[in-house]
Amino acid sequence: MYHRRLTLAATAVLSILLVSAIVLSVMIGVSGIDVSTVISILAEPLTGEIPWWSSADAIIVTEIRLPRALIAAMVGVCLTASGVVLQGLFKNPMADPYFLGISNGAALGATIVIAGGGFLGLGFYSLPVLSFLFGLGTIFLVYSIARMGNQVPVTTLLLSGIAIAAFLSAVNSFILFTAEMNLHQILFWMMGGLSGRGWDYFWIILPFTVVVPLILVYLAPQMNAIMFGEESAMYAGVDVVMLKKLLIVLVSLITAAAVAVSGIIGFVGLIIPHIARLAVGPDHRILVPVSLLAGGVFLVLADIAARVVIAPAELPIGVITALCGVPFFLYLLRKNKGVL
Amino acid sequence: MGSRGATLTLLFICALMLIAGCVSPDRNQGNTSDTTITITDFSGIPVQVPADVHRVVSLSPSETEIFYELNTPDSGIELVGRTDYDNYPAEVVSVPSMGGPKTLSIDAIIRAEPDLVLASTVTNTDITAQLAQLGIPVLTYQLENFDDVYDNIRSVGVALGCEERAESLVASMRQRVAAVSNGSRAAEPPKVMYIVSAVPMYVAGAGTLQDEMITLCGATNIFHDKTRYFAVSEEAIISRSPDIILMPLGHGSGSYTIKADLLKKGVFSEIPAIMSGRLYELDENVVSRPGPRIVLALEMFDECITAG
Repeated sequence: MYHRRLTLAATAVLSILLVSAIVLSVMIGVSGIDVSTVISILAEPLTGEIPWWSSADAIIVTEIRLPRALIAAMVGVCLTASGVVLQGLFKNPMADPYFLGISNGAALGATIVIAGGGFLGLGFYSLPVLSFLFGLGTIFLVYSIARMGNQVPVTTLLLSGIAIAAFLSAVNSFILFTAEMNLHQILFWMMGGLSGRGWDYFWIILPFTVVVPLILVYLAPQMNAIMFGEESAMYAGVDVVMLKKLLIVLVSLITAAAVAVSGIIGFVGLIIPHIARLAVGPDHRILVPVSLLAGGVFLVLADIAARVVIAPAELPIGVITALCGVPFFLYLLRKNKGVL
Repeated sequence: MGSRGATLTLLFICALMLIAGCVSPDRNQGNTSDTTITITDFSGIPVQVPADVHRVVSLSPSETEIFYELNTPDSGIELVGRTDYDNYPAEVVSVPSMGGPKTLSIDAIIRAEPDLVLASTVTNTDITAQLAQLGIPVLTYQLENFDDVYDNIRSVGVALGCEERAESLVASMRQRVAAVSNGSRAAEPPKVMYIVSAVPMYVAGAGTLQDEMITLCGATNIFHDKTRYFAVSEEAIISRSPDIILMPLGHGSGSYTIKADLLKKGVFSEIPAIMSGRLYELDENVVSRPGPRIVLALEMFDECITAG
């Protein structure tokens, strides 16, 4: 089923779609700046044109819309990459990036920052840094609880993930309840959103998005080996234990990074890999690049909707991803007679 | 289920009293504990309140302020319970608290033995429904505009037996509102934004007290096209370029302020209000509490809007 040329073609088409979606996102917004103005503003560093547009328009385009569109794309890539790897690794269609409790850990980190003010003098970076650390910490806790010698049985991993997640969310509720704090902020964070995310957030997630997906694409053939059974993978010369560990570390890093900048955006990491699998089949060599680019496109489009549907107000992006993603996914599921 | 039960119980009680012929819309003169007056709160359901109230619990800071404004030391009525957030007037802190808005204790309220509970629509309805079911009269008020506040004051005046004080309070409030709304006006109404929280950015739209106050001051709320409080986009704030930004200033809870957050945002540097420094922090207990001091809030708004 796997054709190298098809993979390259699909990757190229989706890359073009992703760039188009980002351009569209920069063009569209509540303030009705016309397209030619947007293009002139974006091209200004190259053309050196003397600004004839208002400085407010320039700020909206370069400081608000552009970083936000890029962050949306990167978060989409990270979450989908994470979902596709975990579904393959655990051979479980229910797996998503938040599978092992990472979102509950990250949410607790965020709540601590919101309830207690800053953290270690990190100022603005307190929230992303602490949610990143708590997210990663949760995964490693779950992993070390589930580990038995050199083995990590999947069932134990899942159950300890569920248990730790439940525990952390109880701690979270306890803080929210007793601190009598403004619930808006944490609720918004937990619903996921890119409102107010500028270049500072862009730089947080950029390194993860550049490095990790490339490694995942490189590891795709070995992921296939796991799919065909760990024993045969071992005979094929794949160090399964090592590979599993490496994959878990990689997806934890990108999930934690995505959550740190955007809160908990649901459904993207669960559904996009399935849609990609329906479209291009289960071979990871094509599935990984296709699904992570599709995830980027989807999240950029979802963010446009979140910004304009009830403008000048904004919706949390998680609302859009579920509202639009789920019906489409169910349609595909029915059409394909439930074969995933 | 609970509120339907309460409703049925109340209807049943009303029916019995109608039969007994002791229901009267006016205050009974007998001054015995079994005479009641009927007061209809915002829910539209008539509530039987004892004609001689002695012990009142307030579950809302605005009701507490109304209570103190209307009550007199020699009335024989005292406040026996409040919430953690009630902090005005200063003497209220000696009244035992029934908990915070999310942690109200039904036990504490019952132990305070109130014969009347005052609440607002933001009070936990599980608690008020349970109190009503236990036969404790609860008056719940909705406070979304100045008229609601006036009605609330009059209604509490009837419940506490001090209608005249309530009427004169409302009259003096109306007078102060008229003074502001008849004040001198700039030719071009200034564009004003009222921001409730900076992360996420929540602003006041139409149908809020702050929108009403901005309008009374002869200014334009830039988000009047949306209703209630809502999460706004940065882009919308920049493109609507407010001349003046008003915001509540909280007490305690660390060094966090909305103003600092707004000034930190580089993307807002070109907004007229930020460039001219017309950001005003106003005591949140005054500007977001729909009680008697709402006219003070209006005067504070007016001062900020007409300044400069």
